[in-house]
Amino acid sequence: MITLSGAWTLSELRKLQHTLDKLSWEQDKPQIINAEKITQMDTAGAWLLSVFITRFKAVQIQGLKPKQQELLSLVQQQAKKTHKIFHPVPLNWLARIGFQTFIFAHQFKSFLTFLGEVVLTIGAWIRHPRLIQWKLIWGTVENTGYRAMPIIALLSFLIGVVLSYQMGLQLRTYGANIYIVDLLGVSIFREFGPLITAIIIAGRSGSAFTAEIGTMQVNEELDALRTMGIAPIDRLVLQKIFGLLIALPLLTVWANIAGILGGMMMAHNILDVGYYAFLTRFEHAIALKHYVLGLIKTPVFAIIIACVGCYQGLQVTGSAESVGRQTTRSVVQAIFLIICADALFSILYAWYNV
Amino acid sequence: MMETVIDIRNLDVQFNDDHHVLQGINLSVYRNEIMAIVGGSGSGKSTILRSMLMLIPAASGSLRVFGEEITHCSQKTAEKVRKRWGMLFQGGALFSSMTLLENVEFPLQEHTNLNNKTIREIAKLKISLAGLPFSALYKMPSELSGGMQKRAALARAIALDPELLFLDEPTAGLDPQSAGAFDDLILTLKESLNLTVVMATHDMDTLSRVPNRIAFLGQGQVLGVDTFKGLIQNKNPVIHAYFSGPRTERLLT
Repeated sequence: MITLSGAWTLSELRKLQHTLDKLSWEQDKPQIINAEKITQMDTAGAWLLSVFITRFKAVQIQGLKPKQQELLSLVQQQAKKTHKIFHPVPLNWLARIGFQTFIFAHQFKSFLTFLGEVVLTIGAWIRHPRLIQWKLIWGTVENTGYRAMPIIALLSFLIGVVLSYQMGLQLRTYGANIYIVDLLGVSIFREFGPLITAIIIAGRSGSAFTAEIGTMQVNEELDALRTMGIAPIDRLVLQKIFGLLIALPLLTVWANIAGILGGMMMAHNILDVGYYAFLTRFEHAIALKHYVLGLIKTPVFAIIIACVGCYQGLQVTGSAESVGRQTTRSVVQAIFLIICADALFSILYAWYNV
Repeated sequence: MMETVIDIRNLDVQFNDDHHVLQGINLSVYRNEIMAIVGGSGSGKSTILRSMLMLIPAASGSLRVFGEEITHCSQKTAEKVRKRWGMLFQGGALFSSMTLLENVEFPLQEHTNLNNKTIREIAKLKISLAGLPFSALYKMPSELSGGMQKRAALARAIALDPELLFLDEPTAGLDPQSAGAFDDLILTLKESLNLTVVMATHDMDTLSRVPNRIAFLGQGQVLGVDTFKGLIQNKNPVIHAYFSGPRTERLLT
């Protein structure tokens, strides 16, 4: 005869398991279990008891209180239910590659579809200019442009300071201090201004686009729009693309100014290039084309940020986790594409010798 | 004498300085009973539920759960109380980044020192008790239907074998058949797991079948505590209006 006692509850379960594991019984003989002294029992305890009695071939339990007996049979019933479990099978490497390729191809296709819809909607806007949502576009310009001005100014200024310091150290060894103006002007106008601005905005606004549209997707707000006969692309996406097309070039101009200012201050401090000398040299040394070639890139960056941000937002499915995943993806892809586009522009400019 | 699980005395809850959501609430919930809280929209049902769960601070008054004063209590007391109850949120509130099985395992992982295999077995038992098929074990919450999400959330709520279970609109959004099955499930679990249940609901069918007593909330006060039959005969105009809609009369005939 086996006597069980104490509280058979979840909090005591570990101790009970230990005790039961240490002991051994003759399993073939019919056993009598005396459960009179069990003071408390919950489902976890009942589960342990039900597992325990399966050790024996034949068993008889005495002294369970009616409630405990009920609980035990409830748990035993659940165990008897024949459940089909589908364990997820991890794919082997070949299948994984295939799966990923398939997903990639599928994403590429849906992105093309998205771009197609955008172009068609732009077409509709051109044919019927009164469809254009000016108010929403200005809202986007305010949110992504105007409100980003302080952070863009600060970061560009610091980039200018860093560039001026690093290049100035080299120039000073050759006594070519004044050429800092050429280096700064060309590098900030052509590369750093547009690139840094685009990357900051991709992190700041691209992610916001994805999160906003994605959350609307989770709340079924997009479906609500669709049932009212309003295409989400028309109402949510295009205004962001056009808004950013206006805001990003303006921000880049702003970033150029701040970057040059930062560089100029550093030049004044460590290279003894005075402000007046700096600006006079700037006027002669920096051709307008550098400024223009830098700005030409910004609309492309704007389209990349807005399209990737909105597309990833529309890809959100159902859950909060999905919003987070797509937002990460949006920022990573936007920055990746921005740098690729920038490299392409460099190749193109080199090709045409500008 | 029945043991009191929740004891609310003169509870006031206010959101802004002037706006009282609950005023002078007195309510007791006894062990192993099902107490329903009803009232029109904006009557403070969710507020009273959320203040019992320590999600909203009380302005004044006393709120005792398992004999512990929880309006002003130490972190340790709060932890102790929280381990002894389970909550089913209206929308399920399942963690969207975890599978169904992981959702139910989560409280066990956090609050017990059992090994993974045991935790898994207990979680599976709870899922089975909640009436879910094991084919759903590895599904994400977003892949489950509304009814299954409710059941999954219930499985998570009873994972730690709570003594006290809160249900917020347990049958809202379910079809009549699933809602009926869910009522049965709550009754069965209450009996077999010896639960005390506090539920907020609008569902007349649930109200007529499930709770032992119903507390009627109106204008931030408890207007009456009685059985379903008793409340229907109540002369208070607000309660009378609530229970005299066409949907209720059908139940009485």
